[in-house]
Amino acid sequence: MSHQQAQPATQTVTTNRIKRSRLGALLHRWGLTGEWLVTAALIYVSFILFVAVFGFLFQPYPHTQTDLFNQLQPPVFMDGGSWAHLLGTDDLGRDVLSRLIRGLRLSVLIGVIGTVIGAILGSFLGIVAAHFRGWVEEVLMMLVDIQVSLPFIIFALAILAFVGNSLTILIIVVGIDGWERYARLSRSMVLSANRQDYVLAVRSLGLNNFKIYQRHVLPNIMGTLVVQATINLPGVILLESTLSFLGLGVQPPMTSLGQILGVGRDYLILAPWIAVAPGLVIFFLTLSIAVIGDWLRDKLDPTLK
Amino acid sequence: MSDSLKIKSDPSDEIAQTPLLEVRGLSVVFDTPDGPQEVVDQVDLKVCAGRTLGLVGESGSGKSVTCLGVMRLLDTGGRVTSGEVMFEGRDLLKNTEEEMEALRGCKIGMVFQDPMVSLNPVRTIGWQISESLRLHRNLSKAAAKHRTMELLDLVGIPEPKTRYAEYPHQFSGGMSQRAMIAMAIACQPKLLIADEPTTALDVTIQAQILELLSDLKKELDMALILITHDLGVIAEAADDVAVMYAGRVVEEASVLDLFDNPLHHYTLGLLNSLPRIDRSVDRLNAIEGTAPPPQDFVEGCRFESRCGHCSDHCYGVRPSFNQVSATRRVACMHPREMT
Amino acid sequence: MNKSSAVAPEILMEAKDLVCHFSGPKTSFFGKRKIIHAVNGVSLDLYKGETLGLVGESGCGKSTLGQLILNLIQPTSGSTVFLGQDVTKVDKLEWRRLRSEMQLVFQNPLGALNPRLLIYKQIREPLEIHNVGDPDDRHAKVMDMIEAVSLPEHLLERYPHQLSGGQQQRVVIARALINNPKLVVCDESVSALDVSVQAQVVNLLADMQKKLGLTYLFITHDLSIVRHISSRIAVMYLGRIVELADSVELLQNPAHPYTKALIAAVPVPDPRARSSRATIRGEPPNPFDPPSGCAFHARCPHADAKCRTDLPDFRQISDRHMVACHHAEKLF
Repeated sequence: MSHQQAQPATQTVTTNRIKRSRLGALLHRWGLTGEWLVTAALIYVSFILFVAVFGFLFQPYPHTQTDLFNQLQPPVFMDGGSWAHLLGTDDLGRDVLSRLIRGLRLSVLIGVIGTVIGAILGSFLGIVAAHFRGWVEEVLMMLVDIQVSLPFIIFALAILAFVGNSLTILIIVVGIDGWERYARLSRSMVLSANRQDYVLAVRSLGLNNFKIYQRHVLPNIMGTLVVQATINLPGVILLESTLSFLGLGVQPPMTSLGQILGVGRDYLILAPWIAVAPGLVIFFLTLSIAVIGDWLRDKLDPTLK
Repeated sequence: MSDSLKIKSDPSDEIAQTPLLEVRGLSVVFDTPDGPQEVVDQVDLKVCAGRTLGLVGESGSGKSVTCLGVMRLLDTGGRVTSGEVMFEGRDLLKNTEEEMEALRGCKIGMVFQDPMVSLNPVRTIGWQISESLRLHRNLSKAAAKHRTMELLDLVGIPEPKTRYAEYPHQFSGGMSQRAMIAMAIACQPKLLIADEPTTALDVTIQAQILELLSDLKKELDMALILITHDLGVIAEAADDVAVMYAGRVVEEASVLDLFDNPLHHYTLGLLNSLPRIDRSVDRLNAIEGTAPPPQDFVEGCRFESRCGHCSDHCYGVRPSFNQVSATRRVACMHPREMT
Repeated sequence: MNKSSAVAPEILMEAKDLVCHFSGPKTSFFGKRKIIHAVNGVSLDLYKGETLGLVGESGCGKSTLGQLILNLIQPTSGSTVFLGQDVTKVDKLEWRRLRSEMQLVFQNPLGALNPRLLIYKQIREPLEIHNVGDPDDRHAKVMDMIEAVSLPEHLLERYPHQLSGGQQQRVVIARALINNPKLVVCDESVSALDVSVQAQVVNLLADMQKKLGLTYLFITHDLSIVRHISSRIAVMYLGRIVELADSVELLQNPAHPYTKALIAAVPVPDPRARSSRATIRGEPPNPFDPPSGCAFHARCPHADAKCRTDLPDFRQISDRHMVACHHAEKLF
């Protein structure tokens, strides 16, 4: 029992400090409010989304069109570049920009759907584990442990090699990656939320379990799960890139950022732009999403207002 | 009555003594996202050797922060902006960090509210107590262990030999607090600061701990600062009392004077709002309203909005202290009459 | 508050031999879980309109007993009868209906409020759950209730953390009372509040009791408050009630040595009363490993061989005064 007197004066100060995210604190120390960075990240992500959805309208060439006379042409700002191929061409003379626009579309699609699958599956299983406790929890948490101890790439390669390769299966596989993080997170958060008095309070008011989760527990853990998703999303895009890079992901004629990257690897010395262009896109996308996630966490928490 | 024995309230005795610790005009500011907030505003305190100063106030009154400021233990974001803290003729605020480290736990011991979180869960109780002996006293391992056993015995922990090797989770709340006290007095400090030492404990255990503190004070000839929100604890254990409200000291008196004849309307209000086990009332005399949070602190009297005796004089100007007697003063424009 | 119960008190709630066991953590992988007897055979009547104070130290099972009485946890055995109906055996629907009849007010008001829900919605929630009236009725009820608990209207559009502790507790009380419950269990409801605010909330609880004819089970560790608010007091020690009597009777003529010790340990805000204390030694026993016989024997100055082996009966020693001690008559 603790009938202690809190010390609001110090308490508010410290909680505020602790609750500010690490990145936010860093920016604060640099004398930045962090707003411009968030703005830049938001603009970048919106731009990427826009390109992913409507990019095909501005695509200069079909992404599969080869031009064997213009192989490995450098981008326009390098010596020997031309305005015909803004970002140069690859080993088969395909326009890098066109492939980038096309690849982006698939990468974002796989990333977003994969993340959503992982988040929903993982969070649901975590909540189930926390609600039922007992053997249900033990079995689920054992699955989590197995998933953690297994190198996922090998697992994914095995599935893709045995089950065959289609876009649907690829999305499911990258979706499964990361479910254990949501499961662990939501389980521990639900466990601690269920120990909170407000859950007991609404239970004693007569609310049923489903409504308790829907109205009270979920909104309180949602913020953290969304942030977890933003942390995971870049990982999913990278996983897709890795699988495609290894040749088990997106198969030609479809293309994704990872696949372009994989092709670019062979020409890294000779024609670095092939790999650098998708690499930079992925890098900034990952960074922007992380920045937005960080900002979202603060936004979603009314106790910080 | 053995009052006179237990409560030293002879003023002549008081004047002759130079205080062991004297705090003058201490202000503490916390940096918050909404700008700096002055949580402690020009606090004066005095503790003489062998006496217990009770520092009483509600949450947010700044009583704990004052003591953290004195010990220079404010966490980042909090800083002392003015004042001096004289201890044995030196200003602690001018000490280097190394000098403070040597002082803390050695000349000045501290005991905190929640013993369960103040102990390191992965170290044995014995290790934690002997640590400060090894650190401050340069004792050998064996000597430190021997002394630790003595200390455990002194604070009333039965079977010190087996308890020495136990971990904090094997200790109950009361026993943990005894261990914390043993740690704090390990180096025989001149001053012990106890911040709500009994608030997290049950009443029967609280009574034991208060008794222990008062015994130890006599035995080791320490001064004690007892921070609490509980006027019952103050009546039980303090010799002198400082009442804090909204970051300021509003009244200082000996314990008998304060309870017999509170001069500040806030002190009286607090006393009246207490439910008491020794008498029945139909309705508690609550003080209306709540204490202001630091962002609403004003320059004038901060109790004014809840006070039934305020006038135009109470606004804008900080009420200065009325020195009523050698040991008594009150910061109120319209203090109550002495009866 | 009425200190003496009505002439012919009507029973609102009757707890019969309630037992509640929890299993503790496993000591080893194959080891058996230890059983903790949080509540170990408690029988208790609650009369309509009274305030029964339930006093005890931490770990004595008083909060568990409160939740058992509200039927928020299932007892291992025993029953609670609320207005003639055994509530431990009702179906889900009936259980939900009963939720509007009995309510809980918590110790820590901030923890008892959903941090992400506006105050208005939280007070209104019980009406939504039980489909009371139409939306306009509900709004009117919320407005009436916040006036009754003296909560300023502008706070309705705030979040819990933006309120002071006293205001938060008013919100919790408003939410608990908005469906006109008959029984309210106050679990340390004023312990976390500052003295001056505590008095306000105690007064508010007393006012609401008068206004709505509520019955309170007031759980606390603080005997001073219990004396003020209760008509009867029950003292609990290690899962059992050891003494039960009218407030004044219990505080002036305690028969159980534990009650005596508890009363003596309460700090009185009067420095002149200092010398008159007798502290008991020792600490409450480990609930995983309860002592044989009377649970208090290890700390009791009057314990003899019988106390170490035989569990004392909870028996009547005078009119309306029950106690569980072998030596009660001698000490009374």
